[in-house]
Amino acid sequence: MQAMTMQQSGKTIVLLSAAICAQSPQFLVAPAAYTTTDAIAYEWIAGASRNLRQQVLVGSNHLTGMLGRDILAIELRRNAANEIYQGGTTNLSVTLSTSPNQPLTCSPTYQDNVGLDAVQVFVGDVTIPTSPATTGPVVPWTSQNVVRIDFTAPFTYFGGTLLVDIVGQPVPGQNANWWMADAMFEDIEGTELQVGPGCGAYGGPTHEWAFTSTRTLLPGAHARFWAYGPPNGFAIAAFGAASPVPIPLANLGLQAPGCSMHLLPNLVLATLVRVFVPETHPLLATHAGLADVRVRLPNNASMFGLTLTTQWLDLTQPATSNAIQWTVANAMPSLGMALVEGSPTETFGEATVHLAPVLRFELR
Amino acid sequence: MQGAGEGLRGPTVVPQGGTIVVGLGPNDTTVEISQAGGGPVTKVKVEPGKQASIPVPNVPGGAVLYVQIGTGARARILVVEVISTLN
Repeated sequence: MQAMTMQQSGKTIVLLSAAICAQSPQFLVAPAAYTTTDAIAYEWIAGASRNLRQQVLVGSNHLTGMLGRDILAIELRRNAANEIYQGGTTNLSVTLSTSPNQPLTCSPTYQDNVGLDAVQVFVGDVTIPTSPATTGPVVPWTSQNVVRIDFTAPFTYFGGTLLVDIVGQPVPGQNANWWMADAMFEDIEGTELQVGPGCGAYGGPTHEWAFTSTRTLLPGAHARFWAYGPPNGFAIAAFGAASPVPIPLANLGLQAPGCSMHLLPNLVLATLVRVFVPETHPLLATHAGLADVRVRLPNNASMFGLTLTTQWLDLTQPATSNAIQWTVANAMPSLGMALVEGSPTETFGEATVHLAPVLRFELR
Repeated sequence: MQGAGEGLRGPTVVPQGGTIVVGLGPNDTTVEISQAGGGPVTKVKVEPGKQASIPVPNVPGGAVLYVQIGTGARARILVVEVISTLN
């Protein structure tokens, strides 16, 4: 047998290298900063202990290395913690699509986030491994640390926001009650200030029965405002500018001693009518009803530092709530991912733009 | 003792004047606390490590508190008993 020439030898090396590359799994992690190291937060696994729908919107800036390639599997890595995570099994349905929304324009309504090219890439049981304690900061993608979903049909990524839509159901007797996947949490929030007391039968001695969540006061987020009152009663949430002095409701023709409006009447920008919905959880049967308002804040710089005041009027008593002056964060969320999660029996979930699980995609 | 029911984990017994530290799996941004049977609600924000530290309200020993995240079909509740610090 003749010895190979230099040229032949070079070609062989190139071909072998290409073959090895073609056979080696290739991965992409979003966010890439957590490819090997643990992120600060965690998220539960759909169906590990409860029915859950989780939509993760992954912005295109995380996925440039995936353009034109097939996604074959998704993995979730455990969170670093000094405890063993007991394993189990979850029953999952996974659908991928190109979302019409970006992470900062995501909708709490599940269907609004689903793209026209949706492909169901997996249905069936998935093993949640028993995972030994690991304190990080490096957490390897070993089988004991990973929940892996091997697709039965690949999904080709052609750009845009990738939607990973997971519906999980518990498998009886195989719950993994505390198996937390690694997640990134961007520590960004707005502010709130109580600018006037409430009145009436709710909220205890301070009559504080209205609230907001500062972590939702972000450009691109869905700001949340809520209040407690008589179940099935009507309420109005008013948004505007704070009044420097309280205005007794009697001045507005309402007989409600001790109750005041803390908004300037000529600067009320919006009012929304809501019902104090009775809680359905059996433990909360004797509790107040809950009225809830979500306001999508545009994802542009005009929102930075925007300040408004919110006050509720309970029409049943009548009574006014504490007034909350709130200010939107002075920066844009930069995670580039969003998470919408909640009950699969409902049409909408809780949408957050500061928190998302760390995902690893296997590519071809 | 730790309760770990379905995405919300924390102590099931706390002393008066103590703090309830809970961890939560879902993406809720606040945790609310109230007394069993009704009464005022207070809220605490969720920190980046997905924990919330809730000061125990001024209630008598033996009172039962509900630590809640989510509402409606998303609601999850941890039941916590407050024990007296008096001997």
